[in-house]
This record gives sequence, C-alpha cells and structure tokens, in this order.
Amino acid sequence: MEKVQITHISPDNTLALEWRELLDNTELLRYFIWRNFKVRYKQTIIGAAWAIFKPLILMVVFTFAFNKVGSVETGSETVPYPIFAYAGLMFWTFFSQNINQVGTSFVTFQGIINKVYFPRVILPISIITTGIIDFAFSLIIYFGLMAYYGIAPTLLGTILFIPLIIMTSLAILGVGIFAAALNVKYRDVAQVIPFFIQALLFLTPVIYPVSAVPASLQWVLYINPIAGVVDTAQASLLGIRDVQWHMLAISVATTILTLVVGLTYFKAKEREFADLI
Amino acid sequence: MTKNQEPIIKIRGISKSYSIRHKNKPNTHPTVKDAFVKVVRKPLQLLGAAGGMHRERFWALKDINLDIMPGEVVALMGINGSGKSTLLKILARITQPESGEAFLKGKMSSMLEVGTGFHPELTGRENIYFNGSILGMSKTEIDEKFNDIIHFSEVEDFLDTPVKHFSSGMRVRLAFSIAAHLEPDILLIDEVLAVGDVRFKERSLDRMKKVAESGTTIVFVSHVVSQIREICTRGVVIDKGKVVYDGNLEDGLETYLKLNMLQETKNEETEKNDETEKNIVLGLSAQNVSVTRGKLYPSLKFNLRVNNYDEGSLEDLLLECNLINSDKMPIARMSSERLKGGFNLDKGGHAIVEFSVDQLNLLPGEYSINCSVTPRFNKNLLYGRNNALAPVIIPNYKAHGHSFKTSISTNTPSVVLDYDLKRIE
Repeated sequence: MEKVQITHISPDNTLALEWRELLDNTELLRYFIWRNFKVRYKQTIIGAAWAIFKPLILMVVFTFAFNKVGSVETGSETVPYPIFAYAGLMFWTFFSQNINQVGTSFVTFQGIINKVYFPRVILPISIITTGIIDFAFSLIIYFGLMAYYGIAPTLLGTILFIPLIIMTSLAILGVGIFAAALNVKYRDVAQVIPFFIQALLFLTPVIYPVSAVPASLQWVLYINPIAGVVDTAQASLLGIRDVQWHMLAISVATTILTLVVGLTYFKAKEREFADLI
Repeated sequence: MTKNQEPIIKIRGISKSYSIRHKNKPNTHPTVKDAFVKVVRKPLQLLGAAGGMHRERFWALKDINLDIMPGEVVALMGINGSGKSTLLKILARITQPESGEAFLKGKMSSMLEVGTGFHPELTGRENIYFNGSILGMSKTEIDEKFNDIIHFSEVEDFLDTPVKHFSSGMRVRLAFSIAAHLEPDILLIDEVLAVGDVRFKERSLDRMKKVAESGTTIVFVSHVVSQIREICTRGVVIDKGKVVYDGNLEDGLETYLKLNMLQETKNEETEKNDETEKNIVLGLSAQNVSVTRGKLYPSLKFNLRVNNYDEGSLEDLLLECNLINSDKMPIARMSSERLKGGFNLDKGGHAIVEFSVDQLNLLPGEYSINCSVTPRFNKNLLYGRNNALAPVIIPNYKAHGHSFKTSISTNTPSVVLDYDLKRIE
C-alpha cells in the first residue's frame, strides 16, 4: 500500500527550518526561478544582456571617477584599474541587487503568500538563484577583460571562485531574509534597503583596494561579509596580493552569524505573514 | 463506504484570535517608529503612567472540532466575519492556529482564489505551468492535463499570447480551468465558482460536481445557496467562531439563512440608532417568510414591517417590493398600490403589510427582494433596502408534467405575479 501523506497542522513555535519540506518542493523552486528570470527580462530590448551591462557601465564610471579623476590605484603594478574594479563589481552587483529583491520579496509576492501554502523560504532562494544566473552572464565581460589585459587565471582564484559565490549567496540570504521578514511588518524597511546598500558600497573595497585602508583598521572592513568576498576575489583572481585568510575568517564568521540570525528571525515571523500582509 | 472508516480531515480544538486596537486609528502596517514608541511605552504602561492603546482579543475561531469523512462535500457556511474563511486558511496552511490541531490525510489543494501567481507578462502557456505548479501539480501532471485545461478554458488560440492581452473573461476561464483540473484527495474552495459568464459558471459547477463525484473530499465556502445545494452533501454552520450546526445540508442551509436574516435585522437596528446622523426616519424588517409547496407552483408569504422613527407622521405612502433574479435583474414587482390609497404612519408608529403569492410561477433558483417606501404621488425615495429578505429559494418542482430544476444559467424573464397584500397592523 502506498504511504499516505499526513499533514499535521498545529501551532508551530519551533525555530528550526524544515529543510525536508524544501527538498520536497524542488520542482516548485525551479518554477519560481524560471518565472523570475522570464519576468525580469520580458519587455526589455536587450533582455539578459542587462546582466552584463550593469557592472560594465559601473566599471567604466568607476575607472573614470576614481582612477582617472580621483587617482585611486589598485595597489599592484601589473593589474590595471578597470579589471580590478570589474572583478569586485561582479560580486558587488550580485550582492546589492539581490539584497534589494530578497528584502522586499514577501511583500512583492503577497498575492501568492496570502492564497497558497508553500515553504516561504523558496522565494528568497529562487531570487538568489536567478541572481547567480545573471552573475554567470557578467563573467563573459570578465573573461574578455582578462584576455585584453593578458592576465592569466590563477589556480587559487579558480579554486576559490565557487566558494566565493556560495558565500555571497549565503550573505544575501541572511541579510535579505531578515529584512524581508521585517518588511512584512514594518514597511519602512523597503525604504531603508537602498540607502543601506549605497552606504555599504563605500565600506566595501570595490572602488579602492583594502591596502589603501590603514592596517590597524582593516579588520573593521571585514565585518562586512561582502568586503571579505570582494577583497578575496581581487586577491585570488587577479593575484594583486596574498589572500588575507585571517581577515577572510572574520567575514565568514559574520556571514554565518547573519545567516543564523536571519533564518531564525524569519522562522519566528513566518507564521504571522498571512495575518500581517 | 465502511462504517469504521477514519476521517480524512480531523480538526481538534482549533482556536485563533486576533488582537484589535482601540482608540487608535486602524494601523495595519506599523512603522519602526510605532514599535519604538511601543517599547518605550510598555514600562510606562506597567507603571500605570500612560493610557496608551487598548487592545482587545477577538476570537476568530474558538475550539473548532470537526471530522470529515473521505468523499464528503461539506458546505462551510456563515455570515461575513463568522470565521469560516479563517478556518479554511488554517486548513490550507496559509495561516496558523493559535491552539488545537488538525490532521489532513492525503494530498491537499486549495482554491482560495483563481489565478494565484498569474503574471500579465507571461503567456497563457507559461502561466498554466507556474500556476499549476504552485497549486501542487507536478510537471508531468500538468503535461498530461494540458490539453484538457486549454480545451476547458477555450483559450486555445491565445496560448502563446501574454496574459495581459487577455480579456478578463479569458483570464478567469484559464485560471479556473487550471484549478479545476487538480486531482487532490482534499480540495478547499473559497467562493471561486462564480467566475466568468453565465455559461462558463454552469460548466464550472458541472466540473466541480464531477470532481466531487470522483471521490475528492471537498470543503466549500460559499454564500450562493444554489451552488451549495448543487454539490454539497453536508452542512456546517459557523457563527462567531463556533460551530453552531453540523449535519444534513438542508437544515444547515436553514440555520445559515436564519443567521443571515438576524444579521439583516441587526443592521437595521444599527441604522435606527444612527437615526439622528443619517436622518433615517424609516426602518423596515421582514417577518414570517415562508415558501411552501403549492398546488402547482410553490407559494410565498411574508410580512414587511415598516417603522416610523420620525417625530412627525407620514401620510399616503406606497410600499413596493421587487423580486431580483440571480443575474441581479428585477423580474417582478409587488406594490401596495392595491390597497385603497396609500397608507399612513403615525409618529413612532408602524405598519405590517402581508404579501402573499399563491402561485409563484418562477423557475427554481435563488431570488432576492428589494423594498422601497415612497410617497404615493411623487416617488421620492423615503426608504430603500436591497435584500430586505434573506434570499427566497424556490426548490425544484414539477408542473404541467415537466420537472423544473435549478439552473444558474436561467435568465428568468420578467413575470407578472398574481399576488395579494393586506395591511394587518
């Protein structure tokens, strides 16, 4: 006899996420990713090419404003500013865009949340996965720049590449899901996120290399998870300098911390979503 | 069905309450400032220093217990705010109960709305796949049913057109068709059958009947008596968060309609209390409504009581009733013109007029009645009320050797009713 699925409904006061349920819904997750991707580029002329253009345009602007006008250097003789900026911007754009989307996701999708049950955590995960696809597109320009400047990929950079994407994704999930759960109750959060991202850009070594920061203060920078990612990317992919492992450890720790706090807060508030939206 | 069968839905002591704020204006989206103010105020409140806001518990559901057996089609009835939709949302897992528990055996799908997650930029085909999957269908299932869905929705030619170019009729037809092809063990439905044009409504109802006959257990929330009659086998009435009736459908409907009528009278009383502000001088209530089996057609009898709450007396009035069919069209009129001259209402007085139609030659179905009071000669509306009576339901009957059955697509034509009326008080 086939095993009958039994749904048990009762007040849920636990704080642990039900990952099993997420695994049972992988097909729905795929549909969400597919829908996000389709919807994002419908009615645009260049479609997915936007994923390439955004960091590219920022890179050109940064090179002009900070390198040519502001004389910011990369701290390395061999690595020119444009590719330095672009390497950081790929990760930064991935982070900033998705923080914004994940942070407003439960309110954006309130029409669905109010009418159908599914593990809500699917929403942020699907958005981040769509972001990873965009990220992959932005790599095309990166490889182009490498070829143009004659920079060969490093072994360490190749090994660290995927872990860095995972770390960025987890940071987005942690910060984003916390903001998203908060935004369900306090709608001002949606106003604060863009401001927060703008401020964070200046605390992230995208524009300037970490070496430009006084050595005694560098560790402060790494409290920001994305700072650790960007710096490690520049160091390992471009070989600007050695990877600061002990500093990276600070970023990894804050990533894990935000993830735990974010997911716990989300789980505590998830049960109220439909009543509050 | 065997007797010792286990219930497919078991609800045990489910309760849920909301806290309502008083004094403050309703604030559904508090800001961070509000939270901050709350944190600051709390200790003050404990010290009794600040009045602050006042919260009251409102029990949307209180200790609900129900067993639903496999294959049952249960009508969940109740007036607005009774808690029936909250119960449905708890079963659908959209919101959580505060206490109690429920067990659902097998695959559950909910149709609380049609077209959940439809995106205007996506094509009909893309929306079918996304919507189907969010309702709990697997890709293989959607593939299998794809042709049935588009056939039922009649939008074959527009499959690859973005839904934003669909007419609203096409959109709801497509949305309903997807939901109607779900094959869960338990289906929760919230008033979604009344979509589309009259012909599509009828097909939708037929489709749901088939789903019910196939053995799917259905919990159905609706206000439309004819739909409930058509598909349900059991009636559960909820009032003020409690189950007040559970049993056979007809008695359930009666309980529900009585509650409905009580609510209307209450509304009328509230109107009376607001009299000075709204300048409402008249009140109206229906009494002793009865539909009985007549010789050929059913007969209808009811009393209308008109109260004059005003200081002065009113003279030469006319009381009119219009019968409205399910398409909201007035189809028959009854007027107190038949009484010799208009009727008078003394200050603070009332009139009770008895209406009776011996042969109600209407098709079976649901009719509402609108009433109005006007001066006999200028027809300036003094008082008007839609749905003055709970809907009048004409059951299926036989006449002239034909059997007449409820059909929601019946566009009952206007008729001239042979009626009597007299002022009895």
